[in-house]
Amino acid sequence: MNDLAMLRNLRADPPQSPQALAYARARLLVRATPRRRHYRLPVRVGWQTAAAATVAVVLGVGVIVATYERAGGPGDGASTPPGAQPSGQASERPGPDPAVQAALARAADGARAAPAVPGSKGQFWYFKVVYRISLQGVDEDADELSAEYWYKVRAGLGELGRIRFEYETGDVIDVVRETGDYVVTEDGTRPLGFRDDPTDPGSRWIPWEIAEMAPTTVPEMRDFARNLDRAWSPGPEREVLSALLFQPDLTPQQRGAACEAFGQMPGLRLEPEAVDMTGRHGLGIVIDERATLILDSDTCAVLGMEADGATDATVESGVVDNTDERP
Amino acid sequence: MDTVAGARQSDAADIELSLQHPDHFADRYASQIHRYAARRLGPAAADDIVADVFLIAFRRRDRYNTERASARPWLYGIATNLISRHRRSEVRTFRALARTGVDPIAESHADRVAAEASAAAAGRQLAAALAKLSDGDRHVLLLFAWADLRYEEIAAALDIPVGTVRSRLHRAQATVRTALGNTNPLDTDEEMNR
Repeated sequence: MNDLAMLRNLRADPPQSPQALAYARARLLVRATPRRRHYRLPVRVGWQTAAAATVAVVLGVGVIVATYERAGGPGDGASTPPGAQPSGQASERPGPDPAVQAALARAADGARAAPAVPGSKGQFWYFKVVYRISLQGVDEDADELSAEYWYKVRAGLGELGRIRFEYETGDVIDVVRETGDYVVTEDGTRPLGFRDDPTDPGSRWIPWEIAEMAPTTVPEMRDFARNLDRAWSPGPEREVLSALLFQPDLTPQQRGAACEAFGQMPGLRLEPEAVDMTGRHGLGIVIDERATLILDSDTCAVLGMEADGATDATVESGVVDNTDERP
Repeated sequence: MDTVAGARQSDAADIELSLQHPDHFADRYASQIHRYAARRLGPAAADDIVADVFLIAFRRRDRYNTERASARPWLYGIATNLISRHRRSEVRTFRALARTGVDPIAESHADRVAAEASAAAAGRQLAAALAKLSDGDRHVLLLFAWADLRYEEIAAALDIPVGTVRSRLHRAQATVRTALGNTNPLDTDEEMNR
């Protein structure tokens, strides 16, 4: 037997688990399709760009840490007064809106007083999100989707243990990574009226490896966001802070700092009595007059978003032990 | 229609189709990519590699050159870049096999035949040789031996000239042959001319 033949025999093809391919397919469905080509959510482009960069960010944690430390790390930004324009930003950019600043400072206080973050590695974050498309031409019988996500607690990229999409048409996509259970009752195409799957919430947040380094004071948080920004071009500081708000594993102190720092960003306007698609009241933060982020006024938790004819609302969340459980 | 032209048209059409249905494209190649990644890093890491390959491919689909004969080299190139990030882990498993005769990868999927083949003396020597190879040489050798890519496909996958593929393959094979105690230059595999 020659050396090449021997090499071919080394580690013969391993058996292929059905869940491996199901997982790859599911991840594509929830992360690739949600580009929303049909719906165009301009403000999410920034977030999705940032989310796309998370892979690089995760893999380049060392680089980011180094960048962060070179910049002085926590405390380096103590000289930056809250609300002041960060250095290097264009002076013609509008400053923070005092109403937004005050509302989010109050919400930040609530976030800091909230109970400690539940969950530990091995458990799952469960989210149930409902989506509605209200663009002209979209069939009313197929404009809603209920999506459930089970993410591993404190996992880097919002690692999915299971997804379950239930379309208004009755079609279901349900993939459980651990067991390989895989149900697709639609024939591989999206139902009419909802041709794209929604944005995977996990793609919006900053991965845990980065988020766990987030500081707990506002000046330090802004420094942190600016330094991440350098490694995360072109995501501006504001996008880093908003992505932190989506990260479920922040400590109350981190969430409070991110919330208050976000309120100091320019280009935001307050809708104090915003109502999400399920009727819940919250703080509507209008971003660049293009989209509205609805936050819980008491905890700064993200309730939902509205943008360009598409809305979503997180209607349930909590930590569970397994992917067959709901809170 | 000849085979290459058929594949080109088919893959180009698949890329077009992936603009609407990315999962269709993944379905076509995921199995091959997973098999290759699993042989190099084990099934668990392969799950993530496959998911990332097709996610990256989908995001970069507008950069895909539809004149390419097949999307395989492009996808294997992405996979190789991702596998490179696990270099230490891969080398560690080869060294473990060389030292102990136990292949952590084959053991992980409990394939008795593979485990026995790996545990054989030659398997241990091969693993030691693979651990010693440079990243570039190892990628070329394993794309050739395990992924069955041709020279031109390896060149496309790694974005290097075909001549470099040949020289790396020659060097890698010489290292392997030496490790196996066979220095006879006449004992070359005719397949190496493919």
